[in-house]
Amino acid sequence: MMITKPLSLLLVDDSRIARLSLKRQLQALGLEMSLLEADSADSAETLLQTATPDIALIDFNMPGRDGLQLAEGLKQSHPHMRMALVTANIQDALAKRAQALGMAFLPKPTTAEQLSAFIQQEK
Amino acid sequence: MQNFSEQSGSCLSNILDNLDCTDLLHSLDGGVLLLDAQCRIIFCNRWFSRHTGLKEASMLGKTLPELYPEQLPLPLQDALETGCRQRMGRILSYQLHKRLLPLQRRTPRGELQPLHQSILIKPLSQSELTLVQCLDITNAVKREQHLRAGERILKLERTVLELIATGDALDNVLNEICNTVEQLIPHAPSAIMLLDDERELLHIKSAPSLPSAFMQREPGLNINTAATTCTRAVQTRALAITADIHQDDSWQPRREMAQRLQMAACWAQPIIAAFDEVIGVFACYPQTPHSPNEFERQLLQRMAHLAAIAMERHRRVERIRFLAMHDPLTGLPNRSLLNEHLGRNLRRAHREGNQFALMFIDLDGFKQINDQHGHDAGDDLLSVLGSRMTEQLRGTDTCARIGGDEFVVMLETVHSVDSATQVAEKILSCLSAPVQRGQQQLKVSASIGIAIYPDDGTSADALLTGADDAMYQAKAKGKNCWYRFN
Amino acid sequence: MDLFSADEHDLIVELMNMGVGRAAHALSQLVNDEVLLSVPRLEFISVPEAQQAFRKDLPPFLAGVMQDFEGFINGRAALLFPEARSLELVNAMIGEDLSADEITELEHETLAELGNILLNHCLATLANQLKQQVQTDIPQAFSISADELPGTLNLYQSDSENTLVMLVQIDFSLRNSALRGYLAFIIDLRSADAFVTALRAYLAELL
Repeated sequence: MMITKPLSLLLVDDSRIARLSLKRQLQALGLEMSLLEADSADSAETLLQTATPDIALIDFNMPGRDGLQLAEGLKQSHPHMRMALVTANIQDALAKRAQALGMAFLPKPTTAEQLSAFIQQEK
Repeated sequence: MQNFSEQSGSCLSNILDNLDCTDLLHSLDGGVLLLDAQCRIIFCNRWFSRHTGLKEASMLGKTLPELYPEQLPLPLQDALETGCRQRMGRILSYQLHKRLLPLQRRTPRGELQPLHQSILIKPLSQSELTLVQCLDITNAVKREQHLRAGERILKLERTVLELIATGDALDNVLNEICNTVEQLIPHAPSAIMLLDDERELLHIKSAPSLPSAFMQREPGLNINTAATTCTRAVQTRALAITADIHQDDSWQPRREMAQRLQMAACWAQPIIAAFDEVIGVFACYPQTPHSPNEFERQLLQRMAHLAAIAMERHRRVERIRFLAMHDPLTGLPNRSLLNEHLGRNLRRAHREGNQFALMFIDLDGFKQINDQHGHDAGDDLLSVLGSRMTEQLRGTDTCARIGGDEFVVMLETVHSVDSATQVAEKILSCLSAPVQRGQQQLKVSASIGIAIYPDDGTSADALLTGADDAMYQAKAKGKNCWYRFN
Repeated sequence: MDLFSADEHDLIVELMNMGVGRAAHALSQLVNDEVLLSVPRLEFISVPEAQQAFRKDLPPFLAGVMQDFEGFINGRAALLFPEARSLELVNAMIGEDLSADEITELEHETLAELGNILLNHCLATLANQLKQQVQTDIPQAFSISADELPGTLNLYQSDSENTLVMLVQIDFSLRNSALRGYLAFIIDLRSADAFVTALRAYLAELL
């Protein structure tokens, strides 16, 4: 028998509203999960010193370091954490850079289907 | 004042009320379409029918993508949709969309050509309709192209002038000029040809985009016998144009080559240097038959002028270099150039395992000539003997004058000591033959010291000292003879 | 101006961010190259504040594009650049590496389309996400001095008591060109009620 541990997710976005709407969509998926929130690359890194979430959803366009710069560091420090870049900027060049870092690419505003597909995909 | 404007205002609205709007739209010099919320054409003005070649009736009720299936660029389709359905005003500019609607316009000469356009999409307030305006900006595009081309020439001219100013190698500068023209006149490889010193043959000096086979095609075009576009440019000192090589009889002998290299036309601009001297030709070979337009003519002229500047600078630099490296009296290399050649030859001989010979030559009895007949006579004698010696040598050998009556000959390679001594014999006899100067007969002889690389030394110093010592031995042995260093 | 709560302000920024991101995508497809646009910095100011800000922050000569809009909010939107840099941007867009001295007719049109794409995406995203409607007019490009700007943007004519200026600062980078531009939305406050209502409705669903 398998014991399912609740999924732990980190949301990184400078906009509280963006995090809120993402949270609402995630909750609507009806999965058991715990959520962590950070409003910048720096605060995300501080959080990750003590927590080890399974998944990180990272906004691209943020003041200070952008989402890709953050992910680059996290790839080293948290190699087992799955990451997705969540952005309204859906240029191919950006998507390619995200892929190069092993990240998924979710266009903003996200849809429930895309979110659930990413979260529930096989590790 | 207020009264007046009120009056004229009401007057104007009266007039406008009575105006037939449709008539107004038909008389506009530009395309006007009215689309409904489903992007269907519900009105199209006469300009539009004229430039599409479609009857108004056949357009009504259709959308533009229906009229031109799979011909409209995506951004245009998208803009029409956002305009009609989402009520967003749009502009599609020419520079970002070189192709919009497949419209054509007639030139003053009656030829049909694509119509350059920009498109405005304006959702009308208080109605479901969207106005699509198509502006013919062909003339603006022409003006713009002109402006851009002018700027581009200036910029490239600057690059070339900088290359010239910084003393870049002539080949680089000429290649750059060809590249410049090829950027501005696409699909037309170009070449720079220069006249040789005899001003008879045109040689290709630079043709970066043409195969090397073209560079080596023949010994050169004889400007007196070959009648081609390029030789015509030299003779007439003006731009010569062959708009279609296959219609031009003078190209008969080279037609096969032209075909192979995809040359369809030839435009040749003479390169004219100071004192109106034609020194070469700038040639351009378009791949489709046609004549140059005004811009292209100007470009050819300016680039030929740049080539002339580069050539003249190169000549001046060469002249200065020649003066610095040669003896002004005999025109023979001086000590500096001898050292240069000697150094180069030492490295080569070392690399290839060759033998070579160095001869130190001192005239016997030259001081008496000076004393008896004066310095002018001495100078004339040196000059004649200098050329006599050069005649005994191969082009690759060096004969240098390194002092008053001292010469050094370097035989670039010798197979044996014998072949060096044979040359020494020839030099002895040519130097001892009397020189006629007016009534006077001047006669000297020479003593020659020979040193052979590598047997007698492997450095420049060792070889020169060795040959010098050997020359004194020859003097001691009674002059008018050679002596091999040992 | 405390017309908007912190959450409402945040929401507008996020919607602008989305609009700008989509505009970047649209532009990148047009120019076949990546277009980078920064996080917009948003400020709501009154007409006198706007005039002061323009005088202080903007270079003496400007090029720009403006577009009227009407619907759930009414007003005039503008994209503003330093005049010389706007030419650079146009050149980068059309892949020219030349620096012309003067902006030409065609370049004006290109600039107009650039502004058109940006402003339309911002306004459309704002309207769509808030489930509202907005209609835009065709864009007009202009080159003016900073002193003429308030006149061009209609700041004098409109009732300044009832006008709100939403100023958005944004950095562009395209090919080797990087420059700062401003988006200014001159909003008729008489329509701002609808704006606030729409924002609150959106937030009510979230919170």
